[in-house]
Amino acid sequence: MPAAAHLLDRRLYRAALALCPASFQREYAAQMVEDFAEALGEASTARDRTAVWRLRGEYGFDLVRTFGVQWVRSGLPLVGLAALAITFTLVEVLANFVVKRSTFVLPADLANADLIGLLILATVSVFIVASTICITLWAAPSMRRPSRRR
Amino acid sequence: MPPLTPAVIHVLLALAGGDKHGYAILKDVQQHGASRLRFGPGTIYGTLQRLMEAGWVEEVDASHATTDARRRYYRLTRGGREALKSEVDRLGELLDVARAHRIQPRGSKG
Repeated sequence: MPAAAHLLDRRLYRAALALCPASFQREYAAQMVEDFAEALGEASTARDRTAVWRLRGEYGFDLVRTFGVQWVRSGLPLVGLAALAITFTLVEVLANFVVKRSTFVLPADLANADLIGLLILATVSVFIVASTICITLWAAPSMRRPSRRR
Repeated sequence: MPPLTPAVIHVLLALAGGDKHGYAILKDVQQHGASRLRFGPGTIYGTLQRLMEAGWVEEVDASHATTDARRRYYRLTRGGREALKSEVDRLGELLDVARAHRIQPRGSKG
């Protein structure tokens, strides 16, 4: 197995690890890349020609499983869902408040009415996305665990 | 204490033999954990992370590590050893129950 292919494998593995939560990356990514390189070296010297491909498959599967486990452990998906729920509640309360106190006179022209409807929909969507991101970023730091590296 | 997961048992067992770095733990698990258990580095380091949070495993000071300087070494704590012993006792009792029902582990001569 040429060294260039190993280098590419290593780089791809390192890049894929960037999808893990930052705290896990900081602690273990360097070691995992080192382990992968060592395992790749051992597999390429094995007589079995499929060893390298088997190793890639196993490490790939392990990586996918690690993404899921680590993101769930980070608590960020839960914070995201909570933020989404809070945002939807805010939008609903705000919409009720505005609708009850305001009267909209929509133009009779159908093309304009569609355009206004589209604008309102886009505004609400942007508000929901922005609020979800803001609340998630606000809540996330308190959930991060301190590094245990000595 | 709830039963330990296979990953936790194998990592604790690997460290019961002495301080090891992540890849050495992985090799040990692959060697002793039978081919059915497909553990990769992500599983091993994720398990180590949880075990360190539980206080069952600790990282060894790099200056005390005698071999590969690039690696980080891990050690079983007293709590980890006790947890492992409890689990082995539990599995032993389970094995006794199985034997009482004439269910023998594969390869045993009983």
